[in-house]
Amino acid sequence: MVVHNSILRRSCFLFLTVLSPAAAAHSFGVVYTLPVPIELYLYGAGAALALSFLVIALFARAQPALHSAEIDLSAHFSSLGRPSRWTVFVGRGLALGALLLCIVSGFIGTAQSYANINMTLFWIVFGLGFVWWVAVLGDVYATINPWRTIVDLLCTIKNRIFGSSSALMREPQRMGYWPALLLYIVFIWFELFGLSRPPVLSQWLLGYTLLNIAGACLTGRRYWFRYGEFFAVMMALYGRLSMIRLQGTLALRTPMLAAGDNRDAAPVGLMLFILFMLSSTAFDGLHETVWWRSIYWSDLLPLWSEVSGRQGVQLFPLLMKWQQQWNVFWLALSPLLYFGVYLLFIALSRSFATSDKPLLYIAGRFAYSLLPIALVYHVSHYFTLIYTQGVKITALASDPFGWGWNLFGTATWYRGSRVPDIEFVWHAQVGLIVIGHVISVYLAHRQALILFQDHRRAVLSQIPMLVLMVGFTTAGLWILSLPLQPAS
Amino acid sequence: MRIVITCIVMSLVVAGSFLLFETSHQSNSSEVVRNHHLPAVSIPVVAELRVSNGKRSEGPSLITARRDSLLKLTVVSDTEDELHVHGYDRHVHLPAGVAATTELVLDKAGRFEVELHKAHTTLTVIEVQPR
Repeated sequence: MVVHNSILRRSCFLFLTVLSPAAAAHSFGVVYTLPVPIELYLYGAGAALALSFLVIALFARAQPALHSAEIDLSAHFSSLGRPSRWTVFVGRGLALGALLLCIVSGFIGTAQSYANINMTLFWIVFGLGFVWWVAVLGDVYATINPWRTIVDLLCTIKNRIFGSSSALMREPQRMGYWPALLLYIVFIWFELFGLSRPPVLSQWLLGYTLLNIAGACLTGRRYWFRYGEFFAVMMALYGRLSMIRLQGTLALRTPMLAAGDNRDAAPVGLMLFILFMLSSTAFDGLHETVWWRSIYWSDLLPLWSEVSGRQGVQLFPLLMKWQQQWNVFWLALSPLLYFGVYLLFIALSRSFATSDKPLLYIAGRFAYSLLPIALVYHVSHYFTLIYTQGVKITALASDPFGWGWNLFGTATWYRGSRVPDIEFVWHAQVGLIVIGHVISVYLAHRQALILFQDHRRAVLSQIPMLVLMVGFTTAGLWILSLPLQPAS
Repeated sequence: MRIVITCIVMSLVVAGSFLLFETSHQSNSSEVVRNHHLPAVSIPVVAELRVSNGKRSEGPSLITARRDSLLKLTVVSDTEDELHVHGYDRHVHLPAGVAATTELVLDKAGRFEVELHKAHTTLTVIEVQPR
């Protein structure tokens, strides 16, 4: 029986390599990157472990000053206190213009992804470049959110005609961050499996615009653009890491540190959102690897034939059909899995610190310290796309619809493929992940000191947290080192 | 004392998970033909592929080489098509039923898809290791 099984597996593995559908790389942009070599992966994991103990040792010896230095810029430059109305107006106008351009160009321009501006502008410039901008320089998005601008404009018109009215739903706050989490999962599904082309992207953006209008009508603008619109939630989270504080008065602060000094606890929905930031990037890296494919196409084969009652070749069309659902299932489940692991380690932390605060409250306080890991996961997976595809926005700006225009004389810039130096990419990926890990460990320590007050208990509570973060980091590195699926 | 024991157990768990990652990594990479002992740069890499109905019917799904080696790629397709090597921007016309050969100095390291333009399929992948 065993022999039979292994033959079955072998033959199906052959099927896997010969017949399984083409590895549809994530949404858009070509990644030329090879998996990180095993030595570099081990080195990175080792470095993360060693540096973590260094952080622990530092904290165990002395209690560092907790108050992160903030320089209030408005006190020094009175003109900087708040952005002028004109700056806000121009910013909102540009963002709205970019959104409208993305929608319109998909409908009227070429359907070729690389020749239409909307794919590069949305997926690369906004989805990657702008997100990292927010993480470094502050949450500009809260001010210029184009969907909010549209809703504001519609409200002004409506109020003129019908007089103002309040939101339809009472107490939308009860829904917390769940709408945003749901939208975020759908968005990642669309990114990974939606086979987006310029017209499809336009349809989705149009749909999302209508959804935002409906959401704001139902729950009120205030709630919707803080809890419901998932880009706003994501940007606000990354904005916590930024070196410039834009909310309230303008202030300069140490990059990353502010994210760990929170006095608020993230609600469960937001915790899952943060964990999905980690797990969705991990899943994107994972689902194209040989390892992930072989689980479905060979390791679980006996189970599949038992469930369906079919064998070998007959099973194949069925598996092809199920593969998508299988992947979506794990994508949607991934934040819950991460959450389970996270809670387990928080429970250990809690018992190490002999704290009597509620488990979910402690989990919520520490959730923000995972943001640096989420950011470096994201950057290390996608930064080569800025080099290979992001720069092409200069050419696309001159010919946005692929009609052969040359508006700014830049239409021929960066022609041809740009292949980044692979050894630089590997070192940058591993380096970034290790740095993000150390920052996260440091942030969790600061939070522990704030939360548990007592120095000894705080340090003890961080031992399980450290194990958890080493786990996340090792998983991130491991995924980067996995061999990718060969051609279909 | 209890805490010390817990610490030890946890570090064992970490070490264990490391080994787990490690073994699963190796066992899987060996299942796909992936040559880590790549031939020297001076030996050209030869790959011959056959295409029927816009899909690969013969030949490797993955071609591995060291940087700076010479690739001799021969493709026979039953229908007319165009071959596109990504990253190198090499386009090769494939007449129906006739072997088309192209030589390429693999001077960029990375993972490059070889695409059939008309059939919209990935024919094979070239992985060029930097050393």
